[in-house]
Amino acid sequence: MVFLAMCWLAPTAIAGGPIPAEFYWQASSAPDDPVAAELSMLGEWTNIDEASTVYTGSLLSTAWHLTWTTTVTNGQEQMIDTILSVTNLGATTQSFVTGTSLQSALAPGDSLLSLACSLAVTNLQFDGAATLETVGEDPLVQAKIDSTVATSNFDAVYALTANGPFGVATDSAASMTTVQAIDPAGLSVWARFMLTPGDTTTLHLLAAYSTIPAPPASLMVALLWCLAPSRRRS
Amino acid sequence: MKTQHIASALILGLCTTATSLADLVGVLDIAGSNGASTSTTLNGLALPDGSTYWTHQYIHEELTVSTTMVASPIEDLQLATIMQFSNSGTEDLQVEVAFSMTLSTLPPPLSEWLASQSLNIGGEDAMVETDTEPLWSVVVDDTLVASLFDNPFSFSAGQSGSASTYDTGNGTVFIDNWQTLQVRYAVDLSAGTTVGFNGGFAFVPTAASLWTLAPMLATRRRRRH
Repeated sequence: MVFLAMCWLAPTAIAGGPIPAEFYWQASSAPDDPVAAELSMLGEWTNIDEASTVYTGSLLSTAWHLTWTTTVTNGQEQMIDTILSVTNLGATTQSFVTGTSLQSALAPGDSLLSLACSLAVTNLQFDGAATLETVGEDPLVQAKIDSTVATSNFDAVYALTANGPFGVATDSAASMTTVQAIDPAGLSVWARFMLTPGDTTTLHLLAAYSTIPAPPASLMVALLWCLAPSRRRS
Repeated sequence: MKTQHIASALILGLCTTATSLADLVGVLDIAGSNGASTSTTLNGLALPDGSTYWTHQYIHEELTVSTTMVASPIEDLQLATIMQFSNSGTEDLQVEVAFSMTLSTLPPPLSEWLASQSLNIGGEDAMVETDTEPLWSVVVDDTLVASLFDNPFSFSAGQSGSASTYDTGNGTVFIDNWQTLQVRYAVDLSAGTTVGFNGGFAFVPTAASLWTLAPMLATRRRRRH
C-alpha cells in the first residue's frame, strides 16, 4: 500500500532529465503537417526541482509564429502552466490547435481539476480589427484527463475582438470540477481557436490536478473509537 | 538546476526568398537580480512579407526569458515584440530586457507613434510590478519616446492564477538624425510568476497619420485597462 502511494507521488523525471511533456500544434494552413513532439526536443528547458520543469521555445513558418513558456509539475499535484503567443502571418484567417500533455499516472479517486485561462488579442495594424474566436462547437480551452474532456473555458460561440489601430482586448475565465477517474494516465490542456490575419494573441492556460485529501488516520482512529460500543464494568 | 540547450527554434520552410539573413542586426540585453546578464547580437531573419524576425530564448537558474521581435519595412517602421518571462524561484526577481536595432532608414524628424501591449500573468500568488521606471518603454538614441504601464504599476493573477490586462498609447516625437531604437521591459516578478507581453510600437505612416491619429488625439492620450 505504501509502495503504491509512493509510486503515485514519485516524479517521473529520469535523473537529470526533464519532466516529460508532449506538445501538439496544428495550423489550418498546413493541416496535414502538425507538430507533435516532446517539448524537450522543441526548445530549451530547465528543471526547477525534482518535480517541475520549465520549457521555452518558438516555432516559425511562413504562415504563423508561436512562442511558449511552459511549466509542468508532477509532484503532490500535477500542473500544466503555459503561456502561448501566436501570430497569424498569413493573408487569411487561420485556425490553430495546441495541446500540452503531461503523460504520467495521476492519483486515482476523488480529485479536483482546476482550469484558469487569460486571453489577449492585439491588432498590429493601422486599420481593421483583430479577432480571436472559437472554432465550430468546440470550446476555446479544454482540460482533459486522458482523452476525456473534464472542464472547459470560453465555450462556443465565443469571440474576443480588438478594434482600431493597435487595439488590444483581454479576457479571463476559470473553472473547477471534481473528477473520479479510474487509473488516470495523463493530464492535458488544449486550445483551439481562429485568429484573423496579421494579428497576434497570447493565451495563458493553467490546469492543476490534485487529490481531495482523505481524512487523516488519527481522525479515523478517533472516529472508530467514538463509534465503538463502550465498555461497562458490571 | 540543470539547463539543457537543444535547438532554439525550428525554421519551417523559410528563407527561400530571403536575399540576406543579416539585413538587420539587433542586440538583446537581459539582466536579472539573480545574476543573469547577457548581451546577444541577433541576426534578423527576412520574412516573405519583407519583415525581419528575431527570436531568442535564455535560461539562467530560476529566470527564463523568451523573446521574439518582428520589424516591418523600415520606411513605415513598426516593431512587434513578444516577451515571456518566468521566475521559477522562491524569491522575487527583478528583470530587465532591452532589444535595440539600428535604423538604416530614418523616419521623419517629426513622427507620430502608436503603441500597445497586452500583459498575461500566471501562477499562484503571481504578481508583476514596477516602481522605479515604466514597465515598457521605447528609447530612440537617448530620448524616451514612449512608455506604457507607467510606474508605479502592479498587477496580480488573483485567486484563479491567471489574468490579463493591457495598455495603449500614442503621441508625437521630434528627433533629428535618428540612430537606434530600443524597446525596454523592466519588471519585478514575484516568486512563481510567469508573464507574457505581446504588442508593438509603430511610427504612423505619414499619409495615414492624420486619419489614424485624429480621433485618438481628440481623446485622452493613454488608456489602461
